[in-house]
Amino acid sequence: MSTTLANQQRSKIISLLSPAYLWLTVAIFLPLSAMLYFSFLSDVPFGQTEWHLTTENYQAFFQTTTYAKLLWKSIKLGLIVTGFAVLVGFPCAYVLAKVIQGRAREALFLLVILPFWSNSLVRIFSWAIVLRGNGVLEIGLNAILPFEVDVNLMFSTPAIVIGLVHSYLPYVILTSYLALQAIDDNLIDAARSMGAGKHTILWRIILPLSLPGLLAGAVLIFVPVVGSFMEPRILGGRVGTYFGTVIEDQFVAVFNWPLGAALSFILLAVVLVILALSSPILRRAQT
Amino acid sequence: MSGLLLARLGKIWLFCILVFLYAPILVMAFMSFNASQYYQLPFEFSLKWYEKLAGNAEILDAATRSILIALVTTVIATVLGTAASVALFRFEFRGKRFLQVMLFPPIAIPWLITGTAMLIFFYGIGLGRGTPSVIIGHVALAIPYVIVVVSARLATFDHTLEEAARSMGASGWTVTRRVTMPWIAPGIIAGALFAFAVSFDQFVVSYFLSEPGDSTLPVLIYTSIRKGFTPEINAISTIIITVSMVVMLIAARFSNFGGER
Amino acid sequence: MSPRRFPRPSKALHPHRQQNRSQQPANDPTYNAPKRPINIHKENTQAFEEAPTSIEVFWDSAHAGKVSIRDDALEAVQFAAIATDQDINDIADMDAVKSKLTALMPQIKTYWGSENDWNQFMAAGDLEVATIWSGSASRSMSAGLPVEFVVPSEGAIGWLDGLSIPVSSTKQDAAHAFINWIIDPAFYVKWAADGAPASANAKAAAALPDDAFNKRILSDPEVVARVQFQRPVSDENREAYLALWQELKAAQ
Repeated sequence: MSTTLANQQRSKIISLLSPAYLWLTVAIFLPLSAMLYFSFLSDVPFGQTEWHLTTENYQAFFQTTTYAKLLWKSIKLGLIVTGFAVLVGFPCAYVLAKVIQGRAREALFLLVILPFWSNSLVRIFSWAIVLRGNGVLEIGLNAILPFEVDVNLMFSTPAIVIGLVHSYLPYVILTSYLALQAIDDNLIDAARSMGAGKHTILWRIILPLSLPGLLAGAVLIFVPVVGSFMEPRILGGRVGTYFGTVIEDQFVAVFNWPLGAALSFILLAVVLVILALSSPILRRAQT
Repeated sequence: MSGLLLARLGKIWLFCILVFLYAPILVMAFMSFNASQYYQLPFEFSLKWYEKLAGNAEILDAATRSILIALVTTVIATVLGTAASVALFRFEFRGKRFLQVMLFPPIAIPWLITGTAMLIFFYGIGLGRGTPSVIIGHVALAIPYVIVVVSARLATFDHTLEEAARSMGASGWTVTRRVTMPWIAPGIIAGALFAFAVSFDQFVVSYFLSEPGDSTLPVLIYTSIRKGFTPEINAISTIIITVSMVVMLIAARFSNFGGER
Repeated sequence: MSPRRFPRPSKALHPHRQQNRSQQPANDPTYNAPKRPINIHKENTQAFEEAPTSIEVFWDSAHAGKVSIRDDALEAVQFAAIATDQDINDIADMDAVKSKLTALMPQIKTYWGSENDWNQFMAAGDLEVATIWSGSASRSMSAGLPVEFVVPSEGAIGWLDGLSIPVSSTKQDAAHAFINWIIDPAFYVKWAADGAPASANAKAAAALPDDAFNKRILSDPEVVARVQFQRPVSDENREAYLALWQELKAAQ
């Protein structure tokens, strides 16, 4: 009896999981495995090139301080962007889930994500028009303010942060919303009627219960931002060199795929280590 | 502070964020009506980019193709991703943690590298280029986003609800259809919207895997920055955003997926 | 062919005679006709009373924060080699190149990556002086950007592109027809009106109107003599240049 139940359960698990994971295996895991193999080669094995197995590409990371310095810069950027996005997005999600009522909520929910149905390159060009000297922001501020201001944020770290926060904000808003909206209002009312203050309700009920959504959003922001290259390159100008832009160069400018692949897997390893190290802390915060 | 004042401040905050989110979109639309090819200010009204767009079959074809590919991708990725999320949520089994961790490589490794890897691999196994290859790639990139977003919603799900329904005699399928699905519907909608965005803005995979002459809108946009990038791109983007907004607002009017109880 | 050795993206130029041999390196000057300079500098005319003549304008503090060069290690190093009076194909003093580039970095507002970037930055007034390819410059000028193209007295980088027909080609006739068409004077005059690279075909170059960009600026033999043409670069040098360029960029 229990074996048939276990078998039934196993077949259910397999039938639900295998389509997605088979798809991922064929289209992502196997290709990335090929890339992982490339990262241990001296040259790409096409045509008549000579190549051999080597760990040179990984050693290259440690031979200069350039790569480590840029990786650290990228991780800091990831933390800053995630931090801003959470601070800005979580209250927004709370308002959407708990303050707005009725049909307006569905409309706003859709409006939050709609900007991302446009092309990211066109969006970044638009930010450039907003942020540059004599741009939309400066003209707009000078039209409102009684005194003259000089605003030229283009080609600076703040410009990169603004562009990236904008690109990833919907993730944290929507995942936080999904969790916040699930909190039963009766629970909050009950706590209030028992004399809990606003801070207590926020720290003891709302945050812990919405943490899964908040964390999912934070991970969806932090992970891609560390490897981002387009926003830093266009909005950062001279200060826009990051780990992601160096990887991009290896693939599109100097065609050293093995080194580019090795740098990508170092990036992946570091990101996974950061997620693994932070998960016990976050789990403790959750209980 | 009174609750009412706080609620009002919250609404103002939400409004400010919407302004922030739409600022570049408005600029994009604005520049589609500006005469300068290089986005030069001061603004000079002109409809010439729309006129040029109307005669530009290449952009219009690419936009149509992108929308179709994104729709197909959204449907497949949402179905597969939701099924996987339900399994990851409902069952405990060996290797579950590993499967969850495996969602991160596609998100963490820049698409440029994943796209290059796909190109090499698809050629290696003889699949080659073409729209099916593009869709296979897009779906794979979208699935992790769907799983993470749907799982975030599922994490709030109360197991006792399913148990209660089951104890009252509901079958497994009925429980899924009547209890679980309505609960995670907002998560599925959000996942689908992200899947659409991932596909619709995907450049690398489409660039490597689409057949010459069958390019998608992002491919056209990125290849045009080498030389002839024109505000026609702004014009088509503005049209797409406006139409999607109208469709979405109508959909919002007639549906209830925000999780209202 | 190793992807690492692909010629980098560039404007197509043309051979002065048709070649049937296969697999010639696209930028081998012994194979192609001497071609015209591609990569020089150019500035926003509104920022200058008079066009500069020296490459030192890139280091002039009057233009600090308004300078741009292309984000390319080889080009950056060769650019500094010209500014330090060296042979771009045989750089003897890399330390001089490094200190010259180090001094250039604070002047730079942004690097450019594509013609489109360049045009947008120039149009917005972000840049006053920047390197550019001659073909791109002529296109920008014909599109109405207020810029001028100058070949500095110290020299400039040039390179050659060629059209080759693989021996294995099954459409040799069509390939010949295409090459004949693209180097034909009548076609070239039309192309040059929208902005074209310099032509290898002397007859085509001569057919241009006198005010055409490619005739006005690039037909002067003295100008051509100042241009240093890129030769194939060894993998070791390429890697050393890249390491230097990345180090400089990472330090910003």
